[in-house]
Amino acid sequence: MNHDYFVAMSYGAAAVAVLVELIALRVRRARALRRIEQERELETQD
Amino acid sequence: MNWFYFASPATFYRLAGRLAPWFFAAAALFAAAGLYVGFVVAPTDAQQGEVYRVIFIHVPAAWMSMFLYFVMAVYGALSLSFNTRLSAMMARAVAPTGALFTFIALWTGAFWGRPTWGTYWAWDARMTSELVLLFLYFGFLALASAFEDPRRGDRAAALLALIGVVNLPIIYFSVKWWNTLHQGSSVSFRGTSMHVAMLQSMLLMSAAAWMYAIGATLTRVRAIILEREVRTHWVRALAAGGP
Amino acid sequence: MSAVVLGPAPAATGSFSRGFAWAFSRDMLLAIRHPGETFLVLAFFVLVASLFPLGVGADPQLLSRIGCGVIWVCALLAAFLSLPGLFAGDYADGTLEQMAVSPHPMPSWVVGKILAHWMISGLPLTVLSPFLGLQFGLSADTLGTLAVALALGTPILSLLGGACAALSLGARGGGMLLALLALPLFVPVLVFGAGAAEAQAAGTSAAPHLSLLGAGLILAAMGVPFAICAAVRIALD
Repeated sequence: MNHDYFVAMSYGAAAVAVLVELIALRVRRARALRRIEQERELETQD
Repeated sequence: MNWFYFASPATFYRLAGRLAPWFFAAAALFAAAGLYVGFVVAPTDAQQGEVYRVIFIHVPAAWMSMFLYFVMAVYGALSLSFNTRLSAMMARAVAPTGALFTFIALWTGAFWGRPTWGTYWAWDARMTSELVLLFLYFGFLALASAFEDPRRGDRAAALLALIGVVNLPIIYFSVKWWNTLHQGSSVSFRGTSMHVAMLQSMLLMSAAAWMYAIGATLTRVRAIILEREVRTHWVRALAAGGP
Repeated sequence: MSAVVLGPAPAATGSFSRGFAWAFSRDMLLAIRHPGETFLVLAFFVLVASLFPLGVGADPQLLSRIGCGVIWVCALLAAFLSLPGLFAGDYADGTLEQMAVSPHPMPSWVVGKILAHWMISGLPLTVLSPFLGLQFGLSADTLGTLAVALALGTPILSLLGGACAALSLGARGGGMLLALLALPLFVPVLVFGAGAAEAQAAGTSAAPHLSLLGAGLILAAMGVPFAICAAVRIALD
């Protein structure tokens, strides 16, 4: 098999993994901020 | 100087926010330099041709996976000794990135092994230990999230990380022993003499991985701080006023 | 029920031997009163070991080749099966708290519990292993080495597994979480334990494997009880 395939799969997977992590970080931050919003709204309702 | 100034989640949150982009930028620069040296400067290997260039991502990933576990255990030890919330949060923040590097090491190792050894998975000592390391990371994350009370999870996972860090050399040694008995010498890249450019590239990529890991950890710990300090005044003000 | 107090309450002055004896005899008595769990562990061991020939075929050469490893993996799984009960019952009914505040040093009753656990899981497995080895066509001296290796290794499994059980007290995820925590730590024991029997089967000396196992047992016996105490304290906070 063409050796370029293996090199591409290796670096490609690494790049994808890094991308997934960065996206997951953004999602986690957004979720945390949304949760804070909900808590604040709950508190103002008291 | 008050050494515990930045031990407060509130102050560390801001510091981490200012620092993280610089680490990501440094990672990108190191990676660009490392890939340039690795693909343009370093020559073709006599035995393995072009495919050996996978080591420029495989070896740094493997180094980082082990280093980050050690860092995680250190933060765990700090959190148990000083009972600081932030140390525990840092341990939790490091773990997913460590697991990521372990996965990358395993994946790239497989894609390096297929053309060189003929098989995607070869049960050699390092790769098998790396697989066990992945499970150690999963165990840490699973245990940390397995309790209603996050502080309980912090402490249990910290202790687990300490037990793991003591066992990791034993596991590696045992697998190495097992491997030399069951297989002959596996093809090792270290057997061939390494061109200086190859070493340079590996070091540059390692620096890139390290900078990235710090950036990712700082970013993640900010999210963890937001999750855990929901009820505090400063977090509420933050959400209202914007980042 | 596990809320049994053996004899009079522990003396006001704590001592290692008294704490050890109390915990050990209590757990042994409880196990003797409920032998079902012990038999369950043994039945599981035999059952799973018998599944392998059904799965890979009855070729005697193949079976004798994989026998040591299979028996060791089954011992691992069976020992691990009995781990949740080590602390969970005492944790649920408050006995663990009582033990923690007792005058006896914590490591003493931890060691007592672990030893009792080994005697009702690891030791029977070790005794039963030669019979399973015959199923796989292992030779007599291989069986002997296998039994010695299990005798050295299963206490290590009880110790390390006990630490994981203590860490996961009250956690969601139950047995699977325990498996994820414990099985990676079991890997060296498996490697050296199965390696000892296989070395014997191959004609080479099993002494290096067995000495490493022995060293591991000594290290684990000295260090792990303190980790378990720390884990129990975390669980009780």
